[in-house]
Amino acid sequence: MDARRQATPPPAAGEELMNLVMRAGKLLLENGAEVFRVQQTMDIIARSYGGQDVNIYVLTNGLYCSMEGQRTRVAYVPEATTHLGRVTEINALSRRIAAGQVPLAEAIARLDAIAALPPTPAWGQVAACAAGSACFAMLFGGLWVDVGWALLIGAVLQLFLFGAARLGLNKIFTKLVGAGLVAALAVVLPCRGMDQVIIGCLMPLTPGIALTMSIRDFINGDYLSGTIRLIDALLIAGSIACGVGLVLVGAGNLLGVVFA
Amino acid sequence: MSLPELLRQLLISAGGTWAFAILFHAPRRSWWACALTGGAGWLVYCLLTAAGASSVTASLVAVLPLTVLCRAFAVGLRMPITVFLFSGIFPLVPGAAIYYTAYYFIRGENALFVQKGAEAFKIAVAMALGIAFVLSIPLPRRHRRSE
Repeated sequence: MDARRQATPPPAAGEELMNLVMRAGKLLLENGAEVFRVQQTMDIIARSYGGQDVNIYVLTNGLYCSMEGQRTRVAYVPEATTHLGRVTEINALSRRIAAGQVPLAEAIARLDAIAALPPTPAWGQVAACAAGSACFAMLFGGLWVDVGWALLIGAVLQLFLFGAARLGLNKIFTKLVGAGLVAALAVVLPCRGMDQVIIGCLMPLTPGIALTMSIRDFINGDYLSGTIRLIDALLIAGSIACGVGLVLVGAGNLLGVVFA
Repeated sequence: MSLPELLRQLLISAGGTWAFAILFHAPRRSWWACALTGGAGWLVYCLLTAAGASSVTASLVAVLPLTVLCRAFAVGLRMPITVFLFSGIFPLVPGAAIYYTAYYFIRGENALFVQKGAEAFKIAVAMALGIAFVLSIPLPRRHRRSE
């Protein structure tokens, strides 16, 4: 691999390199990597292939990259999902690139393969959401008889999340309606410990990821991105509370459900 | 807290964390490690609350060994630390406190509503502090890139 030793890559390779760096950055950001990792990985790839005067600036929802002899690029990454498998693979690829083991063409092909990594099949996600809800319902003191209800509500919740994603509902509204749905089902179904079932099934909606990302961004000194994530976490927590609250008020007034 | 009960708590929290690792599309070979971090964090939390600690203190302390474990797995399995941290902290996320905040709000019990809301916020801050503390300790140079 001579590309590392070349002082300046030829213009064509430069363009390809720029595409590769932008592609890797976008993929990382889209799949739930923190700002610092995106920045570091893009930087490592660019420098490993002999990119000169590389400057990269990454935000929660966008990235900028400039390189000697290339047009400065900007990418807008509005929607981020979480696919940690892709993040892991790109991380491993960047490590091999840094060691000088991957020719540029191979790196491009590998990145295509990583972008095409399938998510967990839908039934697997439904099962995982149901199992997770049931486990957390038990963890917070739920009775054995309620595990079945938590499984059912967790599965319905994941199906709702699929539907919301397909309709393109925004995140806040999705969480609000999702929390409302959980509470409504728990009220209607004959659960013994309604509180525990609701709490367990709310866990997949809680902003654990946003909170963790926010902390990581703050530690790495990316205060702007950390603030965006923190607001995200607070809004999600607020909308969950609102969703549950609205349904419980409605149930209390319409159905006369008496809360213990 | 009795030993069988602790074991039961460990298994359930590990199971829940495992499910979340699948939900976040974590690589298959990291699932057991995610489950272990989640279980370990919850175990420490249980022991501390059983010993009389508040949920905030327990969250703060429990997140320390959890994050240490995450870093160890990140280096050992050569994966980003986020893989383990995302799913591992879920048992400690204050989902119950968020729920009770809404619950007491609609029941009009304002004192309890404020108390639960503050508790949810304090737990989140405690977790943030704990994670930040452990992540801020620098690694030896030869391991630095491996997280």
